Amino acid sequence: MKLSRERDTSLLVHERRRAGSTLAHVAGLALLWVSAGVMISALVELFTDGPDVTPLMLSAGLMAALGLAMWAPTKPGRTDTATIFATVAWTWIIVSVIGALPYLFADTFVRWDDAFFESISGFSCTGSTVFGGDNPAIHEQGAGLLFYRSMTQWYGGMGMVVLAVAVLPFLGVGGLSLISAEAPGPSSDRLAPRVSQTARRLWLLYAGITTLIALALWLAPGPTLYESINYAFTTASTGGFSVHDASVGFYDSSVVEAILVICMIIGGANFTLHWRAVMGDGGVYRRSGEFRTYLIMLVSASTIVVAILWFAGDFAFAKSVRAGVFNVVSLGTSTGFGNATGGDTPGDFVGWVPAALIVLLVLMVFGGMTGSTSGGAKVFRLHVGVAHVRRALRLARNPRAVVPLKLGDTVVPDAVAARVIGFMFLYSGLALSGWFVLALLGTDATTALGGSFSALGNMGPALGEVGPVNSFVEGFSRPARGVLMVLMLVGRLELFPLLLMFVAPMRSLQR
Amino acid sequence: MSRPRRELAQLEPGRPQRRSWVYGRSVGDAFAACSVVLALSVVADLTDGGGDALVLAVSAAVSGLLGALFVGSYRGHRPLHRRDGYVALTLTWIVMIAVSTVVYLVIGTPDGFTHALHESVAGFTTTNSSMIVEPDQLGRGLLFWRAGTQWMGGFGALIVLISVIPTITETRDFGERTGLAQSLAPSAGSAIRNIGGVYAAVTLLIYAMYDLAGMGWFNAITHSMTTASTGGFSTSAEIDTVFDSTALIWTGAAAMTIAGLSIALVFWMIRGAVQPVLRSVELRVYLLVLIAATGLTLLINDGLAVSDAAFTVASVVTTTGFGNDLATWASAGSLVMFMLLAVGGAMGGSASGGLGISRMIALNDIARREITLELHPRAVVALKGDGRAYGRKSIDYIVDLEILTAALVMLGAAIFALFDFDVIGALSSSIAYLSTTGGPLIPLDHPSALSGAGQTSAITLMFLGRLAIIPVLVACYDTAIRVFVGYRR
Repeated sequence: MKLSRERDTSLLVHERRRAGSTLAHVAGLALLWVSAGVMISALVELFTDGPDVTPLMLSAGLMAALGLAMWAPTKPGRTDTATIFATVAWTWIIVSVIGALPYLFADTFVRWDDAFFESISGFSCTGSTVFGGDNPAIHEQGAGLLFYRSMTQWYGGMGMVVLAVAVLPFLGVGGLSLISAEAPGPSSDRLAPRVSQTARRLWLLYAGITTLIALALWLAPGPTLYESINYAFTTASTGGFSVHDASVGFYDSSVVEAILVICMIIGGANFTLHWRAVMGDGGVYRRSGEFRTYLIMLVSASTIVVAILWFAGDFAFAKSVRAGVFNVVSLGTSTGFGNATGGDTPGDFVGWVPAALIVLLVLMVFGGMTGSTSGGAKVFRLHVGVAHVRRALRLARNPRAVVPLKLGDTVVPDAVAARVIGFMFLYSGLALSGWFVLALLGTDATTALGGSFSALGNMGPALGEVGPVNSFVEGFSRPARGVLMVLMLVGRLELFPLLLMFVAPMRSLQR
Repeated sequence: MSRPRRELAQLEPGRPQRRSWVYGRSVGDAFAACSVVLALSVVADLTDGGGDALVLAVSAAVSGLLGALFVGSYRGHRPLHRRDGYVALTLTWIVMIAVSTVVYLVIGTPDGFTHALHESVAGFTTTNSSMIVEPDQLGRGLLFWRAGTQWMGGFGALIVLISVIPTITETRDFGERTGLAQSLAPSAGSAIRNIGGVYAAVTLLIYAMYDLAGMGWFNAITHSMTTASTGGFSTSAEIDTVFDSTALIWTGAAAMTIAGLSIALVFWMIRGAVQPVLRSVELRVYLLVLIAATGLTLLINDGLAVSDAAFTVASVVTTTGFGNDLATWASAGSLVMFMLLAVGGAMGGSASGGLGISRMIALNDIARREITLELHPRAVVALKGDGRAYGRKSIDYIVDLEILTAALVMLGAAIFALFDFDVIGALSSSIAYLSTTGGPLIPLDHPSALSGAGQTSAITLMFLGRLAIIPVLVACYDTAIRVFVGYRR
C-alpha cells in the first residue's frame, strides 16, 4: 500500500503540502468515527419518532466537519513519547468536549456543564450519570439520544485512538505506543505484525463480543432488541450506562443479571487472552496468572460480601447472593451497573453493612485486568504489590536468600516492579487528593471518598449520598463535578497522558 | 530489643559457654524496665494517699525479681540470627504489656481483661485510646504508671527505629539521612545511651515548658511523659481542663512539635551543631506541613481559635492524639485532611507513628520518578533523600511499609465497619490505631464502647503500627514455622 502511494506523484505532492501533526490527524479521525455514531443515533431517533432528531443530525454534521477540517489537511508527524501522550490526551479531551454537543443542542440538562459531565463519563466508561435529581430522568429521553449515550461508552471502551490507528497505515512503532498509551494497563501485546492490523483485530474482537452479549440479552426474557444492544455497548466496554433509571434493576430478573455478570467478567478480562482463545488456544486463561488472580479476587470478594449481608440478617440468603455477587462483579470490573429495584432494596449497596462497602471500595481501586476495557489500577498491579511484600517478608527472615519477584510462574524484573509501584503511588496520591479536594468543596466525607475512587477508577456509582440509585447532581456541587470530570479522564488514560499532555506542545513552542 | 550480633560476638572465644534461652536478656530487660517505672509509681502514689501503693510495690518487686532472674540466668548466646532479633523485639513488648495488664487487673481499673489489655497496649504503643472513662478518679500511682507505659513505649519505638529498621534496610540510616544517625548510634550500646539521654532531655524540657506555663507539677510530669512519647494519655477525660489557658494550649502545640522532631536532629541541636539542622529538608517540610495544615484548618472551620487549630494539627501530625473526637466539629474537608496527616506522621526519626515525613518525601520522589521514566524510559533516576541516594533495600522497605500500611488500614476498617462505625468512621479509626494517634480520630464518645471485634482489631493495629509492622509479621511467620513445621536452629 505504501509503495503504490509513493509511486502516485499527485498524491506525493499532496502529502508534502499537508502539515505534519499527529495530534490533529488522530483527533480528526476519531471525531469522524464518533460522528458516524451520532449519525446512527440520529437514525434511531428518527425511526422511533424521538424528539431530538435535529440536534443529533446537527451535531453529527458539525463533528464531521470539524473532524474533516483537522484530518484532511494534516498527516501523522512526530511520534516521540511526549507527542504520543499529547495526542492521546488531547484526542480524548476534544472528543469528550465535542461529544457533549448532542446533549447541548437537545437541551437535555438544566446546566450546560452537566452535558460535559455526561459526555466525559460516557467516553471514559465511568457510567456516573447526572440524569435524575433536578435534571430530567432517563426515561424522558428519546431512544436515539440514549443510543448515542451508550455508544459513547462503546467508543471509549476500546478507545478512539485505537480506532484511528486501525486506519492509519504509516505510524509504525509510534502506532503501538499510541495504542499502549491509550489501552488500560501497563502493556499492550501485538495481535498481528502490523500495528494497524492489531488495532483492527482488537476492534473486530470487541465488536464480536458486543454482538454476542446483545444476542444473549435479547434471547433472555425481558430486554428488547434495542435495550439489548444498548446494554451490550455498555457491558463490553465495562461502562455501566443504562437506558433505564433503575439500571439493571428495571428488569428485576436473575437471568438478565446472571448473563450480565458473565459478560462483565469477560469485558474486564484481557482482550489479548480473548483473541488467543478465539484463535483456538483455550488454555490461555488457565495459564494467565493475572486471570487467576482476577477470578480469585471476584470470587473471594463475592463470598465475603454475601456472608456479611447474610449474617447481618437484613436479607434472605438468595437475595444476599444476588445483590452481593452482582454488585461485586459490577464494581470489580469497573462497570457500575446497579441491580437495585429502588432505594433500600438489597441491590442498593449504600444501605449495606459498612464492612461490605469497604470491600467494594477495595474493588473500586483495583478494577479489572490489564488490556481490558475496565478501569482502576488493574489486578496486575495488585499482584505485583502483593508479591513485593511477600518477598520482603521472606527476605527479612532469610536476608541472604535470592528471591525473585514472581507472578505465578513468570519472573517480574525489578525495574518493571519499580515502575508498577511508582504508578500505584501516583494513583493512590491522586485518589486521596481527589478525596480531599472533593471534601473541601463541601461534599460529605463518605460521598467524596466514593466519588474520587469511583471517578479515577471509572466505576460509576459512588458511596454515601450517591449510590447506585442516585444521580451525581444530588451529592456533588458543580465545582465538585468539575473535579470528577478531570479524575475520570485521568483515570481512563491511566494518568500519564493527561499529566504529560503539555510537554509536547511546550517543546514545539520552544522549537 | 534485638541484641546486635556484634555485642554477642564479643563473648570470649574458647571459654565453654553455657547455653541459655535466646530471648532471656530481652525478656529480663523488659521486666526490669517495668519494675523501675512501677517503683516510681509507688512514690507518686504515696504523694496522694497511697491507695494503690501496695499493689504497685508488690508488682514492682515481682517484676524486678523476674527481670533479675532472666537477666541473671542469661549467659549470652552465639550470634543471634536476624529473625531472632525480631522475635526478641516482639517478645519484649508482649512482656511489658503482660506486666501492665496484670497490674490493671489486680487494681481492678479498667475493669475486665479486654479493657485492661487494651489500656496496656494503648500505653506501650503510645496511642491515646484509654479504656478509663474517668481518669480524674484514679490515684496518682496509676496515673503515673499509665503515663510511664507511654514513656517506655516511646523510648522503645526509638530503639526500634535505630536498631531494628536498619537490619531491614541494611543501612544504618533511618529517616534522617544527613549522617546524623551514625554519630547518634555508632553501636548498639551507645545508641541506647544516646537515645535515652536525648529522650530524657526532651522530656525534661517539655516538663519545664508545662511547669512554666502554669500546669500543676503532677500534671506537668505525666503530660510531659505522654507528650515526649507522642502518646496522648491524659489525667483528665476533658483535655481542656488540663490545657486550660491559651498559653498552655500554645505550649502544648510547641511541645508536641518538639516531640515530633527527629531524635538525631535534637541530638545535634543539643550538641550545638546548626548546619545539619538548617540543611534538613525533612525539617522544613515538617514545619511547612504544620503551618499549612493549621492555616487550612482555620480557613475551613469557622470560629476556631488559632491556638486550638495549632494544637489539634500538632496533636494529629505527631500522632500524639491529645483531644477528643474531631468529627464533632471538623468539616468534611478537615476530617479528611486530619486522616491523611495521621498517616503521614511527623519526622522519620521521632517517636511519632505514621509513615514519617522522610518516607512521604521518598514516596513522592518514587511517584515523580515514574513520571520522568514515562517520558524518558531509559533515564537513570536516582532517588535521593537529603542529598544521598537511597539504597535499593531502603526503597524496597519504604514501598513495602506503604503497601502494608494501606492493606492494614483497609483490613482494620473492614473489621471496624462490621459492628462499630460507618465507612469514614471505620477508616478514620483504623488510621488512628495503626498510626498510634487514637483520640481525635476515633468517632466515639469513648473508645471503651468498642465491640469485641473492634477491640481485637484496635489492639492488633496498635501493636503492628508501633513495631513498624514488618518485624512483627516476620516474628509471627518465623514462630509459626518453628512451631508447626519445625527446623533446626
